[in-house]
Amino acid sequence: MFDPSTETIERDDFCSLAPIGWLHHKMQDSFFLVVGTHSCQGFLQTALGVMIFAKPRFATAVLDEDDLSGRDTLEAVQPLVEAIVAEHRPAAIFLGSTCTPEILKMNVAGCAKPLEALTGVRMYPCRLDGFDPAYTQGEDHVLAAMIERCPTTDAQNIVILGCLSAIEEAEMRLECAAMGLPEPAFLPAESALDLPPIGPNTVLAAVHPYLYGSVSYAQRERGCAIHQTVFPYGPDGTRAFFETLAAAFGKTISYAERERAAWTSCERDVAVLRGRSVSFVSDTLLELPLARTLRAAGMTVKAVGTPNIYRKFHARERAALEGIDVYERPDRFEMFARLDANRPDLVVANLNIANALEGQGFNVKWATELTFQPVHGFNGAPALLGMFAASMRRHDALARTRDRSQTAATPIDLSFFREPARA
Amino acid sequence: MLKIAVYGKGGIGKSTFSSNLSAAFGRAGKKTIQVGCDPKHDSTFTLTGNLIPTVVEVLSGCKFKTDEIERDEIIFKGKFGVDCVEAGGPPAGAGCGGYVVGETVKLLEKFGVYKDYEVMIFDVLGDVVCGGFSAPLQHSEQVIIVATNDFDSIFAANRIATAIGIKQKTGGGTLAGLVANRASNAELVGPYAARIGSSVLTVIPENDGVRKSRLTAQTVFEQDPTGFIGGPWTNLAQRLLAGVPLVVPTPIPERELFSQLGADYVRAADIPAPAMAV
Repeated sequence: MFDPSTETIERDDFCSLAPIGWLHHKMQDSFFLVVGTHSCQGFLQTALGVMIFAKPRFATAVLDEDDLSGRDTLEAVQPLVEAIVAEHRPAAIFLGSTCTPEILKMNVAGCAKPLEALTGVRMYPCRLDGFDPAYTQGEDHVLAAMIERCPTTDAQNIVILGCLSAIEEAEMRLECAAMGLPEPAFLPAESALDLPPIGPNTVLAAVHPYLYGSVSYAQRERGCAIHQTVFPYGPDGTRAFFETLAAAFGKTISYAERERAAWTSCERDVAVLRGRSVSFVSDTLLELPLARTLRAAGMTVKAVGTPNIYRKFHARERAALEGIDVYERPDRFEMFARLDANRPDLVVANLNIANALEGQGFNVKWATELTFQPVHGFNGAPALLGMFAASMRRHDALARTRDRSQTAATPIDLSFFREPARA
Repeated sequence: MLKIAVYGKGGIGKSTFSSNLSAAFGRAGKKTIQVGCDPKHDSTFTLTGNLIPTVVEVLSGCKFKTDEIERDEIIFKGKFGVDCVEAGGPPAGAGCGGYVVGETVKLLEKFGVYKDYEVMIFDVLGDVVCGGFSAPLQHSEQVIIVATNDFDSIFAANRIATAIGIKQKTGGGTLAGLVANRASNAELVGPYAARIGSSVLTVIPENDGVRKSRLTAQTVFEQDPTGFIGGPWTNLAQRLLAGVPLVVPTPIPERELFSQLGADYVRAADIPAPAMAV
């Protein structure tokens, strides 16, 4: 039975609107129209305002009282879509439903078909709300909406799933060619209309650990198997990713030498990390592969918190973390207690908690930055490891210039986070 | 595949009607699933013999991680081969039942339920009160409204007809017809149905055997193995399988309906039992 006393605060970061940032940047002919409150628009404006662009290709259809008391959603959204089409001429519009329409069960997704018929512009309906375990899963919903429109095929083709930069894509293409594999297609591509065929024999290789929804959707609807792999973060992850990809085509190819070379090229940063300890606060769903590669870099991983572990999809990552304490949706207070007990040299957490932890003497790396940087593959490994190393170097430099050590043990005062005991 | 949603005024007999209709389809050899969309979770108990675990109970048990749920945790086998699901919902006075129903309907889509069966019946509570409770309309093709020859159930039917008109623009199901329940004729339901462009599918007479069947957690086919009491459901199942015309109803403006129903009642005293659509 439902027991409210076991509820924990599972996440306290921003919502799945955030991926609009990197997705609208990737798909140059896309427009993101979100149905939500003025706060949704405020968040989008603020968060995406950190990127400088000529013309924003996102907007919010702001709900008012009439919408909440039953105005027809299609009637309300239609003139907005027509105005967007006239002004921006997008190839596709991503129609996002947020918390309010989701709870009220306003049928935003149902407007996609009639709007597409009306305007001739491709409409992709997707959920971008605060209910996902991690905000990165906004991309998951967008990709699932795109997979629905992909043509089908019987060929054993490769589709790389997940938003990557041009550099990361180039590496994928090069390696597939070198391995004698079919040329990979990418989803998302630079055009929102560029949809690769996906069928029962497709090797759908996800590059992000937060894409379980679209991978399982493809499995259900198109019949392609869930490609079990380690994700291409870090030299070790990239090696395993390419070797697994080759194995899907019956080829045994070793990337051991490439991995060794990649580690060597990152040695300056690895040296700063080696022997230090790290803990992960549950945040982006990137925790499993990041913990794996930092351990491979020689760090001691004290504890890993992550919002969701998908049994099949994360199987290889989970196996690679054998011997490390992994917590799924950890209780916040217990997590603070663990941090206090372990005092890791580095904590990977979200920005909202970073200052509080820094104030307690921890060295914090903000993980959100990884969603905006090209960190995949061998090409991305220096950037990935470099980010953590830079954090460590900065912390060490500050420690040297301060009178007292930054890492002097300061017990965490948890009273701030606890509710006062009820009378 | 028959995808049916049953709506109607609260207490009019939707769950009784739905579970006996499911039983009739099951007895006709059709692979059937009934989805109870009501926080009271009392839609399917005559088919399963007990109150099965609800979807929201199971979800709460695994912290709402929908990926962790197996089909057989929420879909239960009932009599006559009918599979049963209860959405459940929050206790009275709390939460949002519509949200739970809406989420359940989406979850069942993930399990591929909408492709696996020959007949699917959504039994939806009371009047259409909000977005969530109209979610089953998105996944059904035909709607049956249960009413009787009184003011309240027809007034409620009219509101449901309005919702059908709105929802069909975004792919919702349309009206198969009305059922006059606990009635000896369709003297008010019939004219109303005709006025909105639809028809009466069947008239189900008041029968104490039906009441007893609910108290003993049995369908009418077990209560009366001769099949006599179950006749209307058996026949209706056959009609639905053969195909009935679906219409987008034109609801009557409410204040106009209010006065018309009164006039109908007076007129009914003079005319014989109106013809049902055959």
